[in-house]
Amino acid sequence: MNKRDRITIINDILEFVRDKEGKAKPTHIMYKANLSNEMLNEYVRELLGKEFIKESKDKREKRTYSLTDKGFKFIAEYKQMKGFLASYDLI
Amino acid sequence: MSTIFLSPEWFFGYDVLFEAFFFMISLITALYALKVHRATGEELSQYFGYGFLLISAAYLFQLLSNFLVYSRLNTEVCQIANLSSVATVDSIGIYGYMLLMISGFVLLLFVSLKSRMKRTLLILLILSFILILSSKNQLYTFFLLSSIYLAFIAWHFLENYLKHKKATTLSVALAFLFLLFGSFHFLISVNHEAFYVIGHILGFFAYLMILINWYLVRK
Repeated sequence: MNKRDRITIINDILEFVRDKEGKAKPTHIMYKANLSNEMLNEYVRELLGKEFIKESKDKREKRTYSLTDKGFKFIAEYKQMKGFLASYDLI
Repeated sequence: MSTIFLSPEWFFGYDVLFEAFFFMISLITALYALKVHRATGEELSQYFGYGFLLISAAYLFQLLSNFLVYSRLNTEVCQIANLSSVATVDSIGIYGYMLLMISGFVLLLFVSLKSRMKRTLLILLILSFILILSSKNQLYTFFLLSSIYLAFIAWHFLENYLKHKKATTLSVALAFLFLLFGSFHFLISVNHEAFYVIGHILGFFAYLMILINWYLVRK
C-alpha cells in the first residue's frame, strides 16, 4: 500500500463514518481505514477535538461514532483542499 | 534609501494598486493554507500559510508607505522642511517590507526543502537578517537574496510540475518563475526606473497565476 497522507486518511475515516450512519465502531474504522490501533486512537482523538465526529454509546455500551455538520463540510471540501495541497506540493 | 526614487513619476499610484492586488491574493492564499492546516493537521500547510501571511504583510507595509509618501507629495503639504518625516515613514515601510518579505520567502524555501528541522528555518532567518541589515546597499542585498531563494523555490515547483503535469502545478510553477524574474528586474531597478515597472507587471502575472490556481482547485 502506498503511504497515504493525513488528509486522505481523515477523509477515508469520515466517509466510512458517514456511510455507517452513526453506527461506526472503532474496530470497523481501524480495518476500513487500514490503521493500527495506536494510529486509530490518535486520529479519533483529533477528529473528536475538531468536532468532525461525535461519540455515543450503543445498546451494549460500546463506542460508536457519527458525523457532525463540520465532518460533512470537510468531506464536501476535501477535493478542493487536497487539490490546493497537491498544487503546492504540501503533501 | 527609498522606494519612491525607484519608481518613475508617471507610475506613482499605479504601483500602490498593483501592491494592493498582491496583498489580497497572498492574504487569501495564506488564510486558505492555514484553514487547510487546521482541518488536516498538515504541518507544511501551516508553514506555507505563515510564509504567505508574512508576504501579504510585506505588501501591506509597502503599499501603505508608498501611499502615505505619494499622497503627501501630491498635496504638496510636505515641503523640504518636512522631508525628514517623509523619510522616516518611507524607512519604516521599506525595512518592514524587506524583513517581512524575506521571512516569507525563507518560510517558502523551508517548505520546499521539506525540512522538519526548525533550526534550519531559524538559521536561514538569522543569516538573511544579518546579511540585509549589515549590507552597505540593503535594498540590493535584499533583492539579491530574494532572487536566490525564489530560484530554489521556483525550481522546486517546476520539479513538482514535471512530476505531476496538471494545470494547477503548472500555474504555481509559472507564478514563482514570474516572481523570480520580477525579483531580477527589481534588482536592476536600483539603477533603472523602467525595470521597477516591469518588476510590478511580472509580479502581477505571478499573482494572476496564483489566482488561476485558486480558481482551478476550487472549481
